[in-house]
This record gives sequence, structure tokens and C-alpha cells, in this order.
Amino acid sequence: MLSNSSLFESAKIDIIKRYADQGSTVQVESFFPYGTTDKIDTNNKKEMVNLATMQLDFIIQDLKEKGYFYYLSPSYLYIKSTYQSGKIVIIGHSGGGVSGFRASEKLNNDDKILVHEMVQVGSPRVESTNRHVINQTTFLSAYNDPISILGIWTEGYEPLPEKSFTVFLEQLANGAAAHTSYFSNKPWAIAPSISNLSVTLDKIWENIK
Amino acid sequence: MVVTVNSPTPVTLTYNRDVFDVERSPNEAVKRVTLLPEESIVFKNLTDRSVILKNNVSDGSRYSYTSYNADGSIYTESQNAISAKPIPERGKIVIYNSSNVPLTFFSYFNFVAIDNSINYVDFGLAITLPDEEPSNIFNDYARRYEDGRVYVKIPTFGLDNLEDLIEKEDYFRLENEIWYNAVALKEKRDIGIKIHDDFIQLTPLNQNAIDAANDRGAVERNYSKLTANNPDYTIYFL
Repeated sequence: MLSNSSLFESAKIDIIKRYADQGSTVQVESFFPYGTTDKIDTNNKKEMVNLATMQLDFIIQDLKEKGYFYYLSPSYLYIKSTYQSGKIVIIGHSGGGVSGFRASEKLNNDDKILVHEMVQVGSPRVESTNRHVINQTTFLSAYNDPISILGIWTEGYEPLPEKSFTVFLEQLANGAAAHTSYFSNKPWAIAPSISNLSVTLDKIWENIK
Repeated sequence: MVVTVNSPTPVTLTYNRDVFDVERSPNEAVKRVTLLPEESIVFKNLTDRSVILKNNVSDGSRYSYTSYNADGSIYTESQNAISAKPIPERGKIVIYNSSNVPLTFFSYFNFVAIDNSINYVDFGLAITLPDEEPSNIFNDYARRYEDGRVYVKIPTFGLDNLEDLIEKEDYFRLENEIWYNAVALKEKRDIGIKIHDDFIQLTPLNQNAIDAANDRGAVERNYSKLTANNPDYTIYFL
């Protein structure tokens, strides 16, 4: 939610380099299934609230396992139409993790395309009974991120992805703003060689390499 | 919590006796196996939920694996894995050390069984061109020619006995590579190859896997759609 399209730029470059270092060729695509703040005056509280409300409405719909999924338009169809070969890795922040999860399920169920790794960063908990997608999912949450405790994983006995981790980030802001701090490349005050971005990416890389 | 000390020196654990009961465990905390290069092993999941198989793989090393659901269908696979992988409930995972150093794999002691009685070998697929031009280039794995023949080239490791399974006219050698007629493999050996317009599906091609596949019907291995631009990974940032 309320993401800017520049959010992932440093992360993309880093991930590509890590794959290249292990001899793999990587194609990267990025898109924002619930829209971005790119053309919005972020100081205009009314516009920001309108966007957040719209995004939240779509995301809440997509958290449910049954029913109408907004993701069908932007995420699933995009991946289905552009995917050519190789393994698929989806890294979704916030609502992107919801959309990516739903896309993974549908690609798995309807198209027999297996998403190799699904990473949710600061995402709400998605209701699902698709064991394959759950098992391929890595769930990262910052200890102070209020978004990642929203929702439920699923009903019944398989409550959560086994690869669920808490990452400890430098607190750049409080409350909902902390939710956008995963990909900040600002050096930590107490350890300048580390940034929230490096912590987040190290944890992602542990699970997708 | 089950704790096993794996250092040569004793380790003291401190606990609150009002909160914990402590007893000796008859078993270690984890079940582990170290594979030398090119060795294989099978971990079976004895439980009704997925279990994570962990490892000590460090940068530069790789392993191959194929994991199977309880019904024998393939769950997922990778030829160059590094990270921990789930074993499906009541399923199994076949591990092959494709690096040049020993690798250790481990999981919860009571939840998994290690089966080293079967010499599983993982496999990959690649393709090279015979002299004539193909009419369809699927991808790195298979190509189809004007007369409809589809050839697949399979790495030789673990597959030496495959030549005994198929008639001479159904394969040929090209330098160090062996090419197999995919249709002949399917029709004469019943190893579960399906040929689609734009991709192929293949069963595992080692003898044990073939036997297992024949026992339970077709086990299919899904290969991705083919393209000239063939990245190993496509990453989507959402």
C-alpha cells in the first residue's frame, strides 16, 4: 500500500547481482497491482486517504480465499502472459504479497505453472489451503510492522508458512510508516555498513537462493 | 525442545525448573546425513504435515532435489538448490549432491526417515542439434524436426543403462552426448513423456524412478515453455 515505484530499485539491482554471482541469469519485472503514489501529491492527505482506502478495499477482498480477486487483472494475467521459461520468484511488499500469493495459487491451479519462491514482505496474512504455495512462501515481517499481523493465514491445522521470519529493522518512523521501511537503503546510525534494505535482502536471499 | 550437543566439550543449559520438565531423550534432536559429491539420499516425511529439510550448504555449493507428494506425484524440483526445502506430508525428497564438497542435510529426528537403500540419481535435460535444421525449437530441452521426430538429450550421469532400454534406431550419439527419440521413449518404454505444442513433459529417467513410475502409473515432470531468451529465474516485484 502507498508504495512508490522507486521502492524496489535498489532491491532489484541487489537481487540480480546475487543471482549473477551464482551464475544464474535473471529477468526482472516489477509492477504494482494496487497502484502507486507516483502521480499523487503525497502531501495531499485527501488524495492519500482516497488511494489508501481503495487499495485497502481491494486487498481485503484478496485476503479471502473464496470470492472475487482483484489480482486477476494486474498480477496473475501479467505473469501468465509474460512468463516464458525458467523459475518464477515473486517478491511482494504489503498488498503485493497478497496479490502475488493469489497469482501463485492460480498459476499453480489453472495453468500448472509452479512459482518457485514466493516472498511476502510486510504483507497481511493470506487465507489459503494451497499447500504447495504455502510451502514455497517465505513470510517476512518487521517486529513493529502493524500490517503483517492483519488477516489470518488459513482455517484449520496448517496455520502459517513454515518459513516465517521476523526481521529487526532500524525504526525510521512509527506506526504505519514503519511498514514502508523494509527497502530503505539509509545506513543504520549504529552500524553504517547495514541498512534496512540489506537486512531485508539478506533474509530474502537466504530463502530464495 | 530436544537438544543435542555436537561439540566435543560439554554445554550447560540453564532453565527455570518451575516452567520446564527435563528428561533424557533417547534420540538426537535431528537426523542428519552427509553426502559426498555425486551421492544421493532419500528423506521420507513420516508426518501429516510438511517438514523442512535443512542443510549446511554454503556459497558455491549446490544440490539437486526432487520432492514427491504422498501419492508419488512430483511436488517440486531444482537442479541448483541451496536453501532449505519442505518435504510434503507423507512424501519424500530425493537429494543429489551436485557440488564438489560434502554436504550435510538434516531434519527433525522423529519426523523423518532416511532411506539410503536405493541409488536414486537426479537428472537434467539439455539439447544439441543434429545436422539437419529443426522445424520447432522448443527450448534447451527438446527440438522437433520436419518429420515429427522429437529428440531430447539427457546428461549421461546415472543413465548408462538407458541405452539398454531402447532400440538402437531410437537414439544416436553426437560427440559425448546421447540423443533419444522422445516418441520412442514414450511408446516403447512407457516412461511418461508427453509432447505438447510448445512444451514437453517427461518422467524421471533413471531405472528406479522408471520402475516406480510404472508401478503407480505416470509420473510427469513438467518442463517450462521454451524460448530463445531463457533466463534461469524470472523475478516479479509486486
